[in-house]
Amino acid sequence: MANIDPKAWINFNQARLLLLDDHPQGAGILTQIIRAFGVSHFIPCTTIVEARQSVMENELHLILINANLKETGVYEFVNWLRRFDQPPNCFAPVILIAGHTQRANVERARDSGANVIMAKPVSPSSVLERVIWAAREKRPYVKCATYAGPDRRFQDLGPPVGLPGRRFDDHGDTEGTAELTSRGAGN
Amino acid sequence: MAAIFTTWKNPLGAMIKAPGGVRVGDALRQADANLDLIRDPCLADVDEQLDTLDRLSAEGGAAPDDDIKLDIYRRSNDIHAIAGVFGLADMSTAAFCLCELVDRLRTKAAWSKPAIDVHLSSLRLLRQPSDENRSGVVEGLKRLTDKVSPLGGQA
Repeated sequence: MANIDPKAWINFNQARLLLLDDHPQGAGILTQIIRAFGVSHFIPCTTIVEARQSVMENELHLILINANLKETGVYEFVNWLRRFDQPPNCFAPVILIAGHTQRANVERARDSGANVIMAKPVSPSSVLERVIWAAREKRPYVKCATYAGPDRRFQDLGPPVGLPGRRFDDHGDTEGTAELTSRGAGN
Repeated sequence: MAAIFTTWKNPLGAMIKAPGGVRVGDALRQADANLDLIRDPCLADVDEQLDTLDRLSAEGGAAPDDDIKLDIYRRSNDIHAIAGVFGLADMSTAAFCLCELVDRLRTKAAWSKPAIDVHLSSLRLLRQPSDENRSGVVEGLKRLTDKVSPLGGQA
């Protein structure tokens, strides 16, 4: 495995995880992988209605979702979760696990509010890498009229050079110039 | 509505670092062992999906309705997801290629039974274990799919 030391310890004993997957074999694969990681509090759901109910009734620390559910509404479910004003669940890291994504849904997946989209087919190491990545997630959450979810800016490089920025924590022109200078020095 | 930024403390980060638990290497070995337990039923499901795909293509003929197209797409996506977990990487990629082909054809409200059937025959071939390098089969399928523009409009 590329990034995780095999001698490192992971402890999922206290973590409560929800898995939404309506494909029996796909859900079986994820279940076998997750159990091997030591997850004991695990809520399997096969429908969005079930998943919503579980979100309302349980404190969750991680949510895994098959993005290719047969029923429609998977992206709307993530959006609902993000706008569900009940911490900590509205901030729970969401990993969307997607096979082929239809053209019409690519932008919807990106804008759903999930923390990460991982590609099928999965492997134990790819799932573990993403779960650990989600556990280290520290991005602030953003809520506005068109989006709710983790800040999609992974790096804070400030606004484009010459522009004042639109957010309260955007850097000013001086920092923008410094950024440009440091890039130039590297060339 | 102005954008509202909320910082939060991710409890999962502290949980996984708590004393106890399992070593990463042991967890991954156990996961592989767990997957071995469900290998046979998962591959049996892949075989069932192949049979159903053949039936759907035959039933749909040259101009299947959209329900059949969507069914073919979904079953191919299932094969892509499952086959790759159990060492059938070429088959998984070929199934992904079939998904892409069906998606492009659906976008155009078009269909090509010969192209679909070539994919299905290739999936059958790639389902069988072999020591030969069969990446050429997958490359051929990709070239076939690329003949269909991803953009809408007439094929």
